[in-house]
Amino acid sequence: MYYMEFLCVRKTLYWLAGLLAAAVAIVSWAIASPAHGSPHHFGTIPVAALMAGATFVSAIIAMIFGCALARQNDGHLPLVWTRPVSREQYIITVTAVHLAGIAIAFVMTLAAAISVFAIFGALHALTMAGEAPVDAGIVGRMVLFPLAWYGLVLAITASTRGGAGFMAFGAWIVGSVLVGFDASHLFGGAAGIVINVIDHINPLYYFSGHFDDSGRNQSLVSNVDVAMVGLAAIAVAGYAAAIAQWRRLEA
Amino acid sequence: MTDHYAIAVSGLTKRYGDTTALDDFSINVPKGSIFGVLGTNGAGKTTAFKCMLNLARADSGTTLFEGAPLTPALFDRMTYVHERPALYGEPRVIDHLEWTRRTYARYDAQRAAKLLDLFGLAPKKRVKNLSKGQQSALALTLAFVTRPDLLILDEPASGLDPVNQRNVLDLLIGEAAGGATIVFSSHQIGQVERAADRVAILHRGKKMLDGEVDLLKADEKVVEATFENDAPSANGLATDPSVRRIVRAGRLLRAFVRGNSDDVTRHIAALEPKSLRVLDQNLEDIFLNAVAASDGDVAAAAANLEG
Repeated sequence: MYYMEFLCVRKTLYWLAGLLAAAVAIVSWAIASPAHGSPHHFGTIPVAALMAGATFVSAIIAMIFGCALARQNDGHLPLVWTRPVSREQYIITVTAVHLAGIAIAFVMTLAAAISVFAIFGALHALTMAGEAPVDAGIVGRMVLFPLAWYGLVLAITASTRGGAGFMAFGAWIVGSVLVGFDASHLFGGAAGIVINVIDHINPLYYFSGHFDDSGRNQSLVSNVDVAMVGLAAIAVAGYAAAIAQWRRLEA
Repeated sequence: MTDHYAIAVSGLTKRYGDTTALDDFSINVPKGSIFGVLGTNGAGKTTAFKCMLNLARADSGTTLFEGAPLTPALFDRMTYVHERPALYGEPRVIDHLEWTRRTYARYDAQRAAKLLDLFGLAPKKRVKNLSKGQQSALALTLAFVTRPDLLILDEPASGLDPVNQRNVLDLLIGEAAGGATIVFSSHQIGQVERAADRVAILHRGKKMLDGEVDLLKADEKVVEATFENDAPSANGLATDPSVRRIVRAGRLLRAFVRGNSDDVTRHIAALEPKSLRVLDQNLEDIFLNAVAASDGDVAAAAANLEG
């Protein structure tokens, strides 16, 4: 049942592989160029930072996959809904393919980033433990962040026909703006409270922050457990909302 | 008992806002029959199919397949072709077939090859590069390739060239001969008359009549008289309940009669026409009469049919 979506995921990953290969080549060329100085002075790079980059890329991939139901709504429902599986089963099988695709995108991006270090024999610059431990909280957020985007995009586009890509892209912009408002405390009083409340359904809210000197992610939501619960809740609620919309939809 | 019918539709009604797209639609489709649903553009044929298949929610009414409500599992041996092929543009023809092979246990690879050959479809061509007719042909190929027991086809020959239109009708007849039940819609009366053994006529969301094509044709007569001068008015016929419609055109007088035409024939004979004959109605006459009975606008109906 998922075959057509499998083709779509495969094609997306081929594109990603091409882009990553190009990125590795460009970065390697830039590092090796005389203007950059010695290519062997990488300093110390926490793996968590590379994983954060991979998470960001896989979240974009999740956004693309999250538009899947909208793509079906755009003229394919009579074909999809007259197959010997229920609408719910269809979503479940398709989601399984998407999750695999998101995971592969994550691994591909991380591998591409690490390969740059490998090219220059600087794998030792990556710190896995000690001063920059990859703790469960960070990993949990990184795993849940793309899933939360996937659930959110799935929910906001499940009933649409066309324009889902703009909506998904718009969600990034709105999410970024909200986080910016929240972090800067630009609005006080009631407006600030409203923004903060809305921000709770914004995956970026639970993920945004910066790495401090020890390689730890300093997020808007400092409690790791709360952040993970928030991201998981967005993923699950979005998924449930998408299924509920598809149950009601007409071809 | 409805389980001896492949499909039993009862009182389906569907409204979109103030518009009633389908109004109390009921049909019974016997197993192994070819059932044609005839109607002008916008008559409600597609809405009827969508409601039957739960692609759209009916406001009221039920549809039973072999006596039971529709379940997804039934689609393992039932297929539906939408009026506009709902195919994916980027994947190739072969990808659609592969998807079907993975989805249906009854996929027949040999038949797939034959159908591709019949319709002249290149397996590696992307669907977005196919013509409208070729896309329709691919949609039909996907439908027939699973050897379904039940086929519901919405305007199956739409967009096809005359050769492939004939191929599709032959396929329909072949499938029915093999025991399959087929329901198909069309606004082309010739196709329905050639393939269907039963027909329902839809107009503005309402079923105007249904029944076996042969019985309908046998039951509907045209009494046609030619006069020396302009045809006289036949006022006495207007009150005859068997007379559906009277047409006067110059020296020609036609009375469209349902049931026994003897009384009408005697009445017109008394007007001393130059010639008088009783003809069987064809499906087009029956259709136009049914539509005219609804809104009295035969010309518009005929124009819609041709369109």
